[in-house]
Amino acid sequence: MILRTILLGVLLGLTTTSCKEAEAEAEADKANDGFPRKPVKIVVPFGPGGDSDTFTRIIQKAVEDHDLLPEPLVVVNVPGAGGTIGSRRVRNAAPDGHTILNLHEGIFTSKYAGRVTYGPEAFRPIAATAESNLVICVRDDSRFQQLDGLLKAAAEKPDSILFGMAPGTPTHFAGRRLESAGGKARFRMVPSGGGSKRRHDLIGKHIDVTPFSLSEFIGFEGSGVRAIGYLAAERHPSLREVPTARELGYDVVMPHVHYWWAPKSTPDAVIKRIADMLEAAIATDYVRGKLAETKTEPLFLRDKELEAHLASREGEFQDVALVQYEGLPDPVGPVIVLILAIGTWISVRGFNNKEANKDSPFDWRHALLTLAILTGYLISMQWLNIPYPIATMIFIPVLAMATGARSPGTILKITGIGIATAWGCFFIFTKFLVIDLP
Amino acid sequence: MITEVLSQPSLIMLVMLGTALGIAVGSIPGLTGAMLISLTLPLTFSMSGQSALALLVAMYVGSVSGGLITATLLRMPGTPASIITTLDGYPMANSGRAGRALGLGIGASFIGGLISWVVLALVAKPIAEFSTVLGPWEFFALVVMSLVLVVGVSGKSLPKGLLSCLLGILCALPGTAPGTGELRLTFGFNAMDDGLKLLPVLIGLFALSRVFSPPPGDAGPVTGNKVTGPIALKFKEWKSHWPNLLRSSAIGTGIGILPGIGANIGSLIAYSTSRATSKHPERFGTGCEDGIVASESANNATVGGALVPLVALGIPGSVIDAILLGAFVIHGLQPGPMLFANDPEIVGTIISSYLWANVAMLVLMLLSARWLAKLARVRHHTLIPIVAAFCVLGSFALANRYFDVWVMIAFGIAGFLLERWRIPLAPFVIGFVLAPLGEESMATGLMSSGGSWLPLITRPGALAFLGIAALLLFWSLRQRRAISSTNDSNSSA
Repeated sequence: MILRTILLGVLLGLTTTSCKEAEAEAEADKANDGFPRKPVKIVVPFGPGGDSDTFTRIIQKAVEDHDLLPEPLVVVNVPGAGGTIGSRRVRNAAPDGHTILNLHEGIFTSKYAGRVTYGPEAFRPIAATAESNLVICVRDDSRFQQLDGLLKAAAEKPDSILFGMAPGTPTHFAGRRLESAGGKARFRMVPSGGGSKRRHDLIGKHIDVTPFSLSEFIGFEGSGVRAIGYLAAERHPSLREVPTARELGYDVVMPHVHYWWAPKSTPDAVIKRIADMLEAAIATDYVRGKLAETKTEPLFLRDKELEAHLASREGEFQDVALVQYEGLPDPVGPVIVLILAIGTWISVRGFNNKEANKDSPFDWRHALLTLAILTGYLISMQWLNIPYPIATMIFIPVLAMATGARSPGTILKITGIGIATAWGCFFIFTKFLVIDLP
Repeated sequence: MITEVLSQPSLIMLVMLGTALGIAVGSIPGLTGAMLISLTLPLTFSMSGQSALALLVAMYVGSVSGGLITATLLRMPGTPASIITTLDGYPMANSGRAGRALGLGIGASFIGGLISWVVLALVAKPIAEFSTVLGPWEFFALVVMSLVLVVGVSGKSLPKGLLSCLLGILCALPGTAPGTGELRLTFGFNAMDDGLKLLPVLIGLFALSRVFSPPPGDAGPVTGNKVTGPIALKFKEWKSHWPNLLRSSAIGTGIGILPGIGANIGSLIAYSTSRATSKHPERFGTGCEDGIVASESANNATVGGALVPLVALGIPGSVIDAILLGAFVIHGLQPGPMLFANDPEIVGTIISSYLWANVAMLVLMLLSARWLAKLARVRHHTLIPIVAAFCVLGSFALANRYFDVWVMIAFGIAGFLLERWRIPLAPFVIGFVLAPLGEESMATGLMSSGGSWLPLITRPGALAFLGIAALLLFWSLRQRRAISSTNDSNSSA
C-alpha cells in the first residue's frame, strides 16, 4: 500500500514537472526565434576523461535522459594551453547560444597568469554549477600538525618549506594567498604538476606541502597523505576533523566551480533558456548522485547572484602576484645554435664525401604533386566549405591516379573504395565518435 | 595481470582484431606498426582507455611478428624488425624448408614474447613502487640518459643521430614553457599556445611521409617460395634451441627496457651474440635455424621489455611506446610512476593484453602463414590514398581543428626529407617526447634547490643515471661499427 502511494506520488510528480517544462519550452521558443534550431555544442577546453569533461558529460546525460532540450547537446573537446585554445574558439563563435563553453576558474587564472589578455568580461556568464574546495596536505610523518604551525614556520624561516603546485593554476594562487594571509610567510614554490604527480613528490619527500582537490584527497587517503587545512567557508561533512583556514584566522577560500559561458552578445532569452536547462539538470537525482560520489556540492547560481559571485572571485585572483624564479635557463637558444652547428658540419662533410651524392635520381615531381593534391583537399574543406564526404570522395581517386593507377578498371575500383571510405568515415566519426567533421 | 582481458568479451575481440591487423600491416612492406598505431589512435577516442590500450598493444605485438613471413618467403622484410630474419630465413626457404623456417620463426616469436611478459609482469610494479624516491633531478638525469642512448645507438652516423634528436627537442619547445608558464616560439599564432601535439607529428612522420615517396617501379614478379611441409613444430624439436631461445629473449627484453631502442636493434644484437657463441658460426647466413630463432625471439621480446619503462615510469622504451604514451594522455591517464596506483586496471590490462596478443599471434600466424605472403602484393596506389585520407581525418579529430592537420602535413614533409637525407627518425621522436619531461624536471629541480645544479651530482640516483649514460655511450660507440654494417634503417619499430 505504502509502495503504491509512493509510486503514484512519483508518477504524478513526473507528469506535472514535464508538463511545466513543456509549457516553459514552448514559451521560450516563441521568445527567442526558436533556439535551439540545431545541436548545441559545449566546448570543453580540456581533454576527455578530465574533471571538466566528466562533469559536462554528466550534465549532457541528464539533459538527454530528462528531455530538457529538444536538440541534442554535443560535447566538443578542444584541449590545450590551460583551456585557452577552447575559450578563444567560443569567444569568436556566433552569439546564438549554439556554442557554449564550460570552463572553471581557469578563466581567471589564465588571465592573471598572463596567458591571454581576456578574462570573464569577454563572455556572457550563464551559470555557476557544482563546487568543491582545496585541501592543504602534508606527509603523514610531517612535523606540521596544523596549518597554523606551517604558516608560522614559513614566516620564521622563509623560503625553506617546499610548496608543490601547478604553475598558474588555483593551486599556485592558493599558495600565494596563504602566504599573504600568514603575514611574512614565504614558501619556496615548486612547479610539481598535476594532482597525482604532486602526491608522488609529496610521498617521495621532494616537496613538503601541497593542495589537493577534495576528491583527489579522498582517493589518496591512507597512502601517506594527511590533511591539515580546508580552504572553504565551512568544514566538510566527510572531513569533520580538518579545520578550515578561516577558523584558524587565515581568510583563504579557494573553491573550484564549473562555470558556463556564452559568446559576449548572446541574447538574454537564449541565456535564460540555457540556464533553465542547467538548473533542471543539476536538480536531477542522477547529477546529485554523481556529484556526491566526488564530494562535490550541487551549487547553482545565475543572474544577479552569479554576477556578484564572479566579481568576488575575480578579486581572489587579481591582486595575487605570481612571483617566478627568474634564473631558469631557456633551452631555445642553445638548441638552435647546436642544430646549426651540427647541420653545417654534416652538410660540409656531405659535400666532401662522394658517397652521399650517389643517391638514385629522385622524382621530386611526385612529392610536389602529392603535396598539391593534399593542400587542395584541405583548402576545399577549410575555406571553400565543401562537406567532408564529398571532398574525400574526389580526393581518393585523384591521389590514386597521381600514385600510378592508370587503367580505367583500376580507377573505377578505387573510385568505389573512395566513396565507401568517405561515407563510412563520415558516418562512423559523426555518429559513433561524435566528432565534428567539416 | 593474466586474466583482465579474459574477463571482458569485448577486450578479447579487440586483442584478436589488433593482433590480426598488426600481422597484416607487418607483412606488407612499406607499412609499419608505428603507422598503423598512430592512425588507429584517433579511432579509439570514444573507447574506454582500457579497450584502446588493449587494441593498441595487440597491434604492436602483431606488427613486430608479421614481418617474418615475407622476410622468409620473399626476402622482403615487412618491417625493419625482421631484417635480420631474412639472412637465414630466405636461404632456408630457398632450399625447400620454408615450412620449417616459418614454424621456427613463429614459435620463437611466441616464446620470446612469453619470456619478456614474465619479466614485464614481475619487475614493472616494483620499479613503479620504488620510483617515489625518484625526484625531479633523477627524472632529469633519466631523460638525459635516454637521449644519449637513443642518439648513440640509432643510425650510421653519430652527428646525424644527434641532429635528429636536437630537431625533435626543438619541435617540442614552442608553446607554454614548463618552468615559467610563458609563451615562446608561437610566432603570434594562438593555435601554437599549446605547442605541437604528439599525434599529428607522429602521423606525419610515419604515415604521411610514405605518401610523398614515389611509387615503387614494377620490380617484376617477386620470386617467392611455396610453403611445403607442416609449419607447427613438435615440442621435442625445440630441444636443441632452448639455450639460444632463452639467451636471445633475455637480450631482447633487456634491449627493449632501454629507452628509445626498438625491435630491429634487439634482433641484431641477439643474432650477433648467437653467432659469436655458436660452434658453427660459418653456418649463419646460409639458412641456419639458430639465426631465425635468435632474431625472431629477440624482436618480440623487445616489445615486453619496452613496456616496462612505459608503465612504470612513463618513459617510452621505443618509438611505438611514444605513441602509446600519447594514447595515455588522450584517454586522460597520467603516465608516470603514479599509473600503477591510480589506474591499476589499466596497467593490468596492458600487461594481460600483451600476453594474450602473443597467444593470438601464435594461432593466427600458424593458420594464415601460407597465404599471408600474398599481402605483400597489394598495390601501392590502392593503399596510399586511403592512408592519406586517414592521416587527415586522424589529425583533425584530435582536437577538432585544422591547425593540427597542417602540422601533420608539415611533419610529413619533414619525415620524407629526413629519410631522404638518411637521418634516423627514432632520436627525433624520443627527443620530441622526452624534452618536455626533461625541461619540466629541470625547472622543478632548480626551483626546489633555489637555482643550484649541485643536486645532479650530490643525489646518488641522479649521479647513477648520468654514469650509466656515459657508460652506454662508450659501449655504443664501440658497437657502432657492428651495428652500422648490417643495419640501415632505424626509422621505426
